[in-house]
Amino acid sequence: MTGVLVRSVYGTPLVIPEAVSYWAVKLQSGKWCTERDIVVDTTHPMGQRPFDWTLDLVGTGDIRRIVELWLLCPQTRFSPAGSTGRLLISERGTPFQFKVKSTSGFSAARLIHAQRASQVIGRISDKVTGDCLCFIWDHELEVLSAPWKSNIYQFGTWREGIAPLGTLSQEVLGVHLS
Amino acid sequence: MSDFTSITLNYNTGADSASGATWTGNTLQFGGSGNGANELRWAMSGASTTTPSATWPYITRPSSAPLAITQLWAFSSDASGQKVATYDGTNSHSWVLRWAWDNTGTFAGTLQFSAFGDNTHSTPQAGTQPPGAHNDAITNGSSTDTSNTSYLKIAAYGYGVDASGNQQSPTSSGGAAGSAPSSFTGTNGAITTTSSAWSTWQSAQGWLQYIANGVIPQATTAGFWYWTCILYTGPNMTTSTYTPTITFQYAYS
Repeated sequence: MTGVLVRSVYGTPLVIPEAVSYWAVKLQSGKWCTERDIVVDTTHPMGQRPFDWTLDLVGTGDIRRIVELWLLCPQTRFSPAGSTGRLLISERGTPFQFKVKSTSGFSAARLIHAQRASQVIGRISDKVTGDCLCFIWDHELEVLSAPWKSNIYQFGTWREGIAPLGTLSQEVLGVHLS
Repeated sequence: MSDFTSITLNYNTGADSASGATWTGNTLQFGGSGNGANELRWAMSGASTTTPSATWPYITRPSSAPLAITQLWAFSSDASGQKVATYDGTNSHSWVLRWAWDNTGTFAGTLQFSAFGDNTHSTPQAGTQPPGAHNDAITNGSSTDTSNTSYLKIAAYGYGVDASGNQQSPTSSGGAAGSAPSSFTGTNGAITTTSSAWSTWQSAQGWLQYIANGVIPQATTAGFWYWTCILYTGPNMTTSTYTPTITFQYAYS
């Protein structure tokens, strides 16, 4: 595996990716899971698939055992060593992760295919109001945000070109506010 | 879940009804190839199924009042397209266009769509003619012709797939898609769809004026979200060739 080891700074088994951001979590047991892991899945056409937030964390209940949530972002011209966002999770049911994609087309614009995904990790900071604290890897701008506040019931936009996301799916993301 | 394997745009070359609509093979992929492929093109006359993008007929700007463009064509490659049979520049048909997604992904947030001057997704300059960099005359609109809304209007039906997995489709016999818009139609922010009903018509003006789905469709459930559109032009639109993009935004885990 290539990339700059984050281990040297944080003592984790994580590496900075070369191209695509990814999330990683540390469970109460000390085990690390990331979406770059591969899991066996006999229902998948290939017999295996990437480790999945909804299927493998929410679906197994491990979502409630997360103690750290990371976003690892690639090396860019703005951040030659890559960048990381880290959220410590002290309350069950509060971490979440998702991607946002804007896909365009159907015109004669002489620009090739535009599919861009940004990635968000977050932690509910107030279960009553739904307020949350996030890190956002903006794929187009190639930057990781500073800690950014929003709300899972009315998730806002962080820049021009991205529509406010509105309500997030608590079921899909594994958020439990009770 | 991982991302969807396929999200596409389907167009109808058949009749305005559930049984008469023809969707098979009528699919445009996101992202033009740069050589005329995967394009929606509007015309008043002079277009054919083999007209390449470079010789697409001009539309004459009206001299007095805004008018709706009456033909919509879908081209899967530069000189191979079909007319969208149920588009006529009015709201009188329901089975016109639809977003189609497969069952490989799960939406994690609200779906939205609109139009931009190009795929930099820069915010349109409402009412500004002539347009500037990364915006266009269509999505900017005109203070006189469109009350600063976009010349492109859109409406969507219901949720596509609701949170319980039920497909929501227009009335099987077709007919009017909501109340007729005008060139001035448009509301700041999102028009949010409601269950099994046509939305209010909206202006497609970037994320200034757009349509949002009223629910998050059920996980791993393929579906169709029906919509339609009307493109206007008017005497105050700056003449040129415009290539706005239609943008679909979604979140997944």
